[in-house]
Amino acid sequence: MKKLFSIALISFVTLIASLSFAQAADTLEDRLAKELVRLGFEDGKLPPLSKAFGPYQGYIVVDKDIYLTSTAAQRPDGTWMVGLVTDETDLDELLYAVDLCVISAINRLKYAADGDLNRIGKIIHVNTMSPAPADYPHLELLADRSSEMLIRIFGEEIGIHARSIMAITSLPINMHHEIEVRATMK
Amino acid sequence: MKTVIKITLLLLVCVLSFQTNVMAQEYWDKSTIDAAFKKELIALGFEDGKYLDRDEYTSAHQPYIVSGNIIHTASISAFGPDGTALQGKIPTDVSQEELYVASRLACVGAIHHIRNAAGGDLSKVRKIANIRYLTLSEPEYIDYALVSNECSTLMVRVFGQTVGSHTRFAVGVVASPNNESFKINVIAYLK
Repeated sequence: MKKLFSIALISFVTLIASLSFAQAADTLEDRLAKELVRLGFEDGKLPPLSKAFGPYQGYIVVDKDIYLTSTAAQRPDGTWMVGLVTDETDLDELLYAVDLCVISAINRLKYAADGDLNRIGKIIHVNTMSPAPADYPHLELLADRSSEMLIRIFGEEIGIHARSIMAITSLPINMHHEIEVRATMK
Repeated sequence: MKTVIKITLLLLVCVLSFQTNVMAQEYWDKSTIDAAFKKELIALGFEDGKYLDRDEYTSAHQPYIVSGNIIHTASISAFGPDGTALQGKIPTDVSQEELYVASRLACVGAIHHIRNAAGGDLSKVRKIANIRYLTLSEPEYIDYALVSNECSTLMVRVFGQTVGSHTRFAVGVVASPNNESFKINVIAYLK
C-alpha cells in the first residue's frame, strides 16, 4: 500500500513539474526561436546586426522611446531580398520578406533594450512600405503578416500596435519590402 | 617599484576609458552649433548665413509642434536662398546632384524650425531621433541612401555625433504637393 502511494506521489510530482516546465518554456525567447527556425535560421538565434548603409544609426533610445531605422528583408545567409513588387511577384516569397523584416526589427529592438526583449513595454507603431504598383491588391495582407507575427512573439498586450501601410515608388538599394517600428520600454 | 608602475598604468587606463566615455557623450555649446549651422547656410548661398522665413503656414498647418519635450516638424521643403524649391521627378526631371543640394536645403530648413521650437537655442536640442526622407521618383530609381546621406551628415556636422546621429527611413513617392522633389520630416527631443 505504502509503495503504491509513493509511486502515485512521485508520478504526481513529475506531472506537476513537467507541466510547469512546459509553461516556463513558452517565454518570449522561445516563441522568437520558433519563428526563427521556421524562417530558416537553423540555430534559432538572431543573426548579427547588419551594418548601416550610411551615417545613421539602426536604433535610438531617448528616455523610454525607441526609434528604429526602417528594416529590410535579409535572408539567413546574409543576402538581401530585392526587386520591385509587381502583380507577378510570388506572394509567398513576399510574405517571407515581410517575416524577415520583422526579425530584423526585433533584432534591433533587442539591442535597444540592452539584450533583453522582455524589457520592451509596447510596440507603438508599425509602418509598412512596399514598392508596389498603385493598384496592388495585397497591401493589407502584407501589413497583417507583420502585425500577426509581432503579436505572436510579444503577446497580445505588448505586441498589438497602430499601423500604416503605403505603396511607394521604390526603396533604397531596390529593397523588396521594409517596415519601420516604434516601441517603448517598460 | 614594479607595483608603482602597475598602479600608474591602471590609473592611466582608468582615466583614458573615462575620457573616451566623456567623448562618446559630447554635447556641443550654443556658439559651436550656431557657427556650424551658419557655415552650412553660407555654403548653400544664404546671405549672412540667415535662413529665409517663409510665410506659408496657417493656423491649421504649423511648421512644427512641441509636445512635452518632443518636437515634430511638418514635411519641410527644400527652399533655396531664392525662395524656390526643386520640382520634378528623379531621374526624368531632376539629377542626382540637384537632389543632393535639395537634401541639404531641406535639412537646414528643418534645423531652422527646430531652432524656433527650441526658443532660438539649438544647444537645447537633446537628440535628433528620426528623419523621414521623401523623394519624388520613378520606380527604377534606387539611390535614396546617397541623397539621404547629404542631410544625415549635415545633421551630425551641425549638432555633433551625440545629438545629431539619428534613425531614418527613405522612400520614393509617386506625387507630392507642388510637385516638389524632396521633403523631410524630423522628430527631435529637447533637453
